[in-house]
This record gives sequence, structure tokens and C-alpha cells, in this order.
Amino acid sequence: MSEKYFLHNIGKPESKSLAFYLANQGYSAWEKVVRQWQPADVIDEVKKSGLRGRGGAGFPTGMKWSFVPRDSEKPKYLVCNADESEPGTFKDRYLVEHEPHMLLEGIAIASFAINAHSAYIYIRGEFAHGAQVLEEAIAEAEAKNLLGKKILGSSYDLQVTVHRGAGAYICGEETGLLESLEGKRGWPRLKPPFPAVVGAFKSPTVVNNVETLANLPLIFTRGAEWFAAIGPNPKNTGPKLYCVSGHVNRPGLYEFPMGKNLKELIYEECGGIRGGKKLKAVIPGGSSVPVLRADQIDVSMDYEALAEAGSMLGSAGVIVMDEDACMVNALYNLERFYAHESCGQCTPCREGTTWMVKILKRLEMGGGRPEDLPLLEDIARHINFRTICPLGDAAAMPAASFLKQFRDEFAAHAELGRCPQRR
Amino acid sequence: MPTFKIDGKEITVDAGTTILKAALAHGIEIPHYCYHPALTIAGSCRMCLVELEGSPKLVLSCATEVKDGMVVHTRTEQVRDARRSMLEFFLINHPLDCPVCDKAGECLLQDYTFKYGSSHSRMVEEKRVRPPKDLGGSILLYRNRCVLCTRCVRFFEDVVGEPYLIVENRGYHSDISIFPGRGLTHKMSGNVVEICPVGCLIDKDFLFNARVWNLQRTRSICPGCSSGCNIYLEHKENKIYRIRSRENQEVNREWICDDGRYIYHAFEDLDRLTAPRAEKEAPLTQAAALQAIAGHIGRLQQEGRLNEAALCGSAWATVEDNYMLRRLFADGLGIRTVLLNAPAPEGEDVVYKSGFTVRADKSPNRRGAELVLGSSRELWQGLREGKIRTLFLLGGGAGLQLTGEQKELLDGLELLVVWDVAAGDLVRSADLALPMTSFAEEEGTFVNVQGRLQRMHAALQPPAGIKPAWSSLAGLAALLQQPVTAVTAADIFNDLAGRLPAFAGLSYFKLAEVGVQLS
Repeated sequence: MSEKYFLHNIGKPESKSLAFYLANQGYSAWEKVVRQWQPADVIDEVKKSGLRGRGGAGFPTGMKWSFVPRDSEKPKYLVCNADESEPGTFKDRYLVEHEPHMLLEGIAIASFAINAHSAYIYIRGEFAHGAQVLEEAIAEAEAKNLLGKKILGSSYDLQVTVHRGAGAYICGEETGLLESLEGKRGWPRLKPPFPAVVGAFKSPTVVNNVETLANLPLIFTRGAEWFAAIGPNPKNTGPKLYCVSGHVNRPGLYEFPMGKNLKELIYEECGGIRGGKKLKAVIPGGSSVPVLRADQIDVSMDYEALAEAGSMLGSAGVIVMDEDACMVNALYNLERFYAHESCGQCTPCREGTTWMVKILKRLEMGGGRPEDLPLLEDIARHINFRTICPLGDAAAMPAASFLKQFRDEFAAHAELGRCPQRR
Repeated sequence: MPTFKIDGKEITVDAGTTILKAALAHGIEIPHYCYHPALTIAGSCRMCLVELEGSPKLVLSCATEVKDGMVVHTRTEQVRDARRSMLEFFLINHPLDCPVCDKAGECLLQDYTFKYGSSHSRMVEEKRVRPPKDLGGSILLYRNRCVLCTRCVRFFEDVVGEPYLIVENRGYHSDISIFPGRGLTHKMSGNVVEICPVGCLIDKDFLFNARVWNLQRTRSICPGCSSGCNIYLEHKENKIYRIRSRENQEVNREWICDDGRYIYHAFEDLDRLTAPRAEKEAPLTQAAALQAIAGHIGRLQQEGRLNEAALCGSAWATVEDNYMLRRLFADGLGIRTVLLNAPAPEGEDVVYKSGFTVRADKSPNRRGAELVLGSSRELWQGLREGKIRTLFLLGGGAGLQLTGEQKELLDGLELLVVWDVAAGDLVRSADLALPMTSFAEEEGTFVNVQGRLQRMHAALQPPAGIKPAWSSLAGLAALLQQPVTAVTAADIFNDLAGRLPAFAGLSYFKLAEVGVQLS
């Protein structure tokens, strides 16, 4: 067992209190940063740490911050993306509910780095409890002058505001989130301009994921070198949360260094496949990344290795499916999600996702035809890379990969006209 | 100024120009639905994707600014594939009801499918079916035909500045709708029918009335207010079926208000004055009427009472009509008292976010009449002084109603000669009334409130025997030994251009379609 930095307090309900956090050296990084550091040095330190965004895309965090124009006279904003909605992903929720001060300390450091005096936590509407925990944590931190005006005797002010979403996956996309934060319909924006230049309220904005921000206190207590030494290579550093769901004996939230071997994760840490069944498929990074076959899972869970294996690390939401799982039904289920969550703004995603659902329903329930397979592939290809935001790609990639990886199963459905497992 | 290459053609554009704008300006068609030059960029229809060398994905030509050295392709297989697929997405749920759709013939879904689409559908499932919705006012929403380009939504936000329309629901169920409790009765509403690229927004006024390819288009000027919006009259068999806006960036850009859009109905049921008539007498012939006027003028001249006569131009009548009135009575006969018949302003000018203005002055040619007549006085003020005994008056304001005082002033005259379109209050007060052509029947010019001289063309044949006022005035001039050689409005205009400084140097046939700004 490796050391834990996020999950070390599991089973201690008091972990969310400020007293507990302070007693365990909490906010020491923030105190140091706000009193002694310069923003530019904070950015450099994060660049040195090799920290990459934990929301899914894996963009280097320090570099993202450095895109914020220094000379802009507009206010800058930090937005914490706590709209965790990717199927198979449940890491941010844990941090929000159990380690709110770790997140707030990270938010404070990031805000300081980009010279923001307002930070927003955009939290998924369903996380009602998490929102309450955060509100309480903010009040506690403000009472101790860890947030608020002239923090810890410095000249730096920071106000952190919790903003609850209203239940839309698309508002986890950073520009959809910003629209929603501004009180508008959650329709993603055209990019460029990127949020670092034109973000919330037309001002420079950094949007960072919860887990990304929660890494910052570690970097500033133990140092960038220490952080960069964790993980398989300099491009994949630091500790990482892995969410395992599906047909394993011990599903749940796990913490290991970046680059955990996927096979080890499933068979050793999670106790293997439920009921002694054989593994069929694994989606390694949340529902929108391409699926892997059982023979492809001996892979390091880092950005590059998973890309080489034909998938992505994404949110590290590992969805495990055993030999009994029907891949057509699984894809039907996924695509129903994407069709439901499509915002409807741009054509391919609005029309294409529901069309795929209709075809998959026939393949699974009755009325499937051999020509449905190339048609599904065409629709996925016609959505992919042609939409405003990555939701289109997220809907298209599973379809393309399921059809490629489990062609025979789809062909059998098409041949029979329905799922062979159904009577 | 960046230079880039598009389909092998090297083009230099102003900095900030998008690929789409540059392409359209140089005759390269890139299909598009959501893009509209007057609206903010939505980038949502995805029809205008093009290939940019060095970019891993197709790029959105409506939102990508040209950079120096870019190489763009719009005809590659990849681009064709994207267009084909987008049209397939648009059509899977489209009812394909072109035979009963008013938009057919001017529909971008039809045009692009014909050019870039596939002739058959691969969707075997049931289509999404949504009944048409009455948005209130004159607009119907045929939801099945919508491509969700949001031009209509953005029109109200960007141009009008008062949001009316919204997108309701999400994803596949997204739907154009109106804010709850509102009807689409806004004065600018009709424009959304014009900018709708498909047959989703339909005007009840035009519903099932005509196939657009059977209509003739005539360039004209809206007579509804002093803005002078450029319009198309669309007509067949001597009947107007609809009015559309005509782009003029100097005046109305690409919009008109609904007052103007439906103004042709106001001229449809007019009780037309079809022949000259004397008070309470049977109709006269044109020749007899002109003889009677000439006789009266002869008596005034003999009795030395020409100074009791006045002429009154009209803010509704064309520059040419007003000019002929002036040329005959003021320049020719030496009548000094010049009046102007024009409406009092109705309320305030209404200015929308884009600057589009509906004027309080509901006459189209006040400036033109003023420029032609020189210094003039307001009609009723002039009459109240009681010195005028004979009045030669141009009418033209359809539906103009007189107050009791105004009727008394007119009744007190020894002789009132009126040229007018309809047998209204003015004609009823007249001793002698002569018909004139109505809106859309006469060609000629107006000068709008900004001092812009604009030309309109005749779309309709007037009823038998009715001529423009300038024509019967020219007939009268001949009787009074003041001949003018004038067969068309152009002759009159060219004559006035030679005599009136405000119009110096202008030639009727050289007036641009967007008009001329008078100095």
C-alpha cells in the first residue's frame, strides 16, 4: 500500500472540520504562499510539479494559469469545476464532502497565482450535501481569516462563492459551466477565445477541477520536486484518485500514484471480477473514453500509455464489465445518457446522439439490421470533431470503439435482429 | 491586411475578416444557416466547416478569422462529407413537406440539399413530430421544419434589443419558443420570417397565398414613415402578395417594420377616385376637368386676383408630383403662396438597439417636398389667415381624415382643386377633384428624413384612366401655354435636376439602387 494524501482520513467524519484540518498542518501551504510567495513563482512551482488537470483533458495546470493575461485591467476569476457528472466518476464528490478545506486551500493558492479575488465553486446540483459542507467550510475559513479580506495579515483578498448547478452534464464542460454561472442557458461557447482570456463575465478565468486544486496544498508543503517524483514519468506526476465501478468484487474509490497498472487495479486492489466471471471490457476513464478489451488492460494508467492503448485516462472512472455484459446494451445505455444530456445547440450532437439511440434500441430490442452497423459508424464519425464542445466527441468515441472492439457481438445482434441474451 | 489562399485563389482581406465573409465576398459559396451578417456569431449549424491546412479538425469558417498565409479548402472530400452529413442530420426529422411549404423556392434547406445533400434518407425510425405553434401576431412556427439556427432568437436580442424568442427544452427536444405569456406582436416580428433560412417561421399574411417563384419583385420605398426603408414589392397579376425588406446599409440595413410590411393592405380597399369629379356632380372627363381649372385660372388672371391663389404640395406625393405643381403654379403662373400638406408627428421616433428607427413622421417625402417647394408653410396655418381664396392641393395620404375646423377652412375657399388617390375627406371638400396613382403604381423618387434621395419602381397597373399627378399637371400646363415635354417620371426628374440646386447634377437613370445622399 502506498501512502495516501487524499483518502487518509476515510472513516473520520471530523475530517471536514477546520479544527481537524488545521491540527494536521492544513492551510500551512496557503499561509506560506500568501505571506511569502509571488504569483509568478507559484505558477512556476506548479509548472515544475508537472501537475496536469484531473478533469479529463489532462492539460498542464501551470501552463493553463500562465495564459491569463497579466496586464488585463479586468478582474480575474478562478472557477472550481465541481460539476462531476461523468458516468463512472465519483472522486470529486468525496473530496468536496470529506476534505473541503483541502479544496479551499487549493482554490486559495490558485486564485493567488492568477491574481483573482473572486473564486466560484460550481457544484453539481445533485450534490446538495457537498454544497452545504462547502458553505460551512468557507464560513469557518473566513472566521479564521484564511479567506476573506486581508488574509492572514497580507494585502490579499479572496471571496469564495458556492454556485449550485441545476442538473446538466453539459455544465461540466468549462464554457457551458461559465454560461450557467452567469445565469444563462448552459450552452458551450465557441473557442477561441478560451476562458483564460474571455471567461466568466467576459473576464480572464481559470477553470480547474476539484482534484486538480486539491493537489496544490501538497505541492506547496512538500515541494514541486517531491510531487514530480511521484508517478511513472515526468509527464504523469503526483497522486491520483481512481474510481472503480462495475463487475468487480470491491468497487470504490482508490488512491495510488499516477500510472497505476489497470490490470493490477482490477485484479489485486479490487479483488478481481465478481463471481469468478471472466472480464470482457473496461472503460478506463469515464464513460466518454474508448473501451478496452480484456486483453488490453495491462497498461499504466497515465495519459500517454492509455492513449497508446487506444483510450484515454479521462477522469479515471474505471467501468468494468464481465463476460455477461451485453456490449450493445451497454452502448445503448451510454448513448441514452449522451442523447439526454446533449444541450441541443449544434446539429451533429443534437440529432446524431438520439438517432444512434434509436438504432441501438432496435439492435437490442428487435428490428436490428446488418446495415445498422456501418450506419452507426457513419453517425459517430459525422459527430466526432464536428461539434462546438467535446460532448459530441464523448458520445461518438464510445460508439466507434464499441463497434470496433466488439464487432462480432454487434454483428450477431444485427443478424438476429435483437440481443441473443433476450428472449 | 492578411492574405490567404482559398481554393487556390489568393485573397487579401481586412484584418478581422472571417473565412466565410471573405469567401462570400469573392464568390465562393460556403453553405450556412446560423450565420447572418447582422447577427452575433452562433457557430451552431456546423454547415460552414472548411478545411484549414495544419488544423487537425475542420474549422468553422464563420468564426475563424483569416490569418496571413492560411490555406483553406472548401471543396475537398472531407468538407463535402461534413456538409452531406450535416444535411442528413437536418433532414432525418424534417417532414419534407415542401409542396405545401411557403418557403419552398427560397429555402436554404432545399437549395443546399440539392447542391450538397443526399437524395435519400437512411433513417427508418419514426420522425420527431411537433405540431405547428401560433406565436401570436402574424407568425406561425412550423416546428418540424426548424434547423435551430437561432437567427430569430438572436434577431430580437441583437437587432431589436428586446428578447422575445427563446430555445426551450434541451438536446433533441430543443425547440424555438416565445417567452411565456407573450405574443409575437412586436413591430419588428415579420423580419424573423425573412431571416428564417427554412420554412419554420411563416407569415400568416402570406400563408398558402402564392408560390414564391411565381411572384415578380419590384424595388420600391416604403411609404409608411420618413425612414424610407428599401423594400421589394412582390406581386403577380396586378396584386401585391407580400413586402420584403431590401438591403440598404445606409438606411434600413436588412430590416423593415411590420407597419411597412403590411402597408399594402391599406391601399387594397381604398375607395379610389377613378375619374375627375366636380362637387356633387357626375364624373367629368380629364379634358373637361383640366379645361375647368384653366378657365378659373384665366378669370383670376383677368381680375388680377392670382395673389389670392395658393399651391399646396404633399409629403406623401413624389418629388416629381411636387415639382410639377411648383413648376406650373409657382414658376409658371407666379403664384407666391406655397403650402405643404404633411401629417403631424405621431408620438416619438422608435429606435431599436441596432439603430433601426420607426419615425414619428408618417409621411415618406416631407424632405423631398420641402426641397422641391422651397420655403413653404403648413397647410392649415396658411388657410387660417383667410387670405387664400383658391387652392391647388396635392393629397396622397391614404385614409387622411379632416377635423371639423379643417373642413370649414376648406369649405370657405372659393375654389379647391385636389389631386388625390382616394375619395376621402379632401376629395369630399373639393370643388374639383382629379385622380392620381397610388402606392406601387407610380415610379418616382422620395427623399427620406436623412436627406437620401431614393427611387421606386412601379409594380402595379393603375386602374384605367388614372395617371400620376405630375401627368395631369403637365396636361394642365399645356393648356396654360406652359408646355413641359414629359412622358415619364424620368423626364420630370431630369427637368428638375436642371433647375433645383438641391438636385443639381443628378440624372434619374443614374440613381443607384441604394439612393443618393443629397448634400
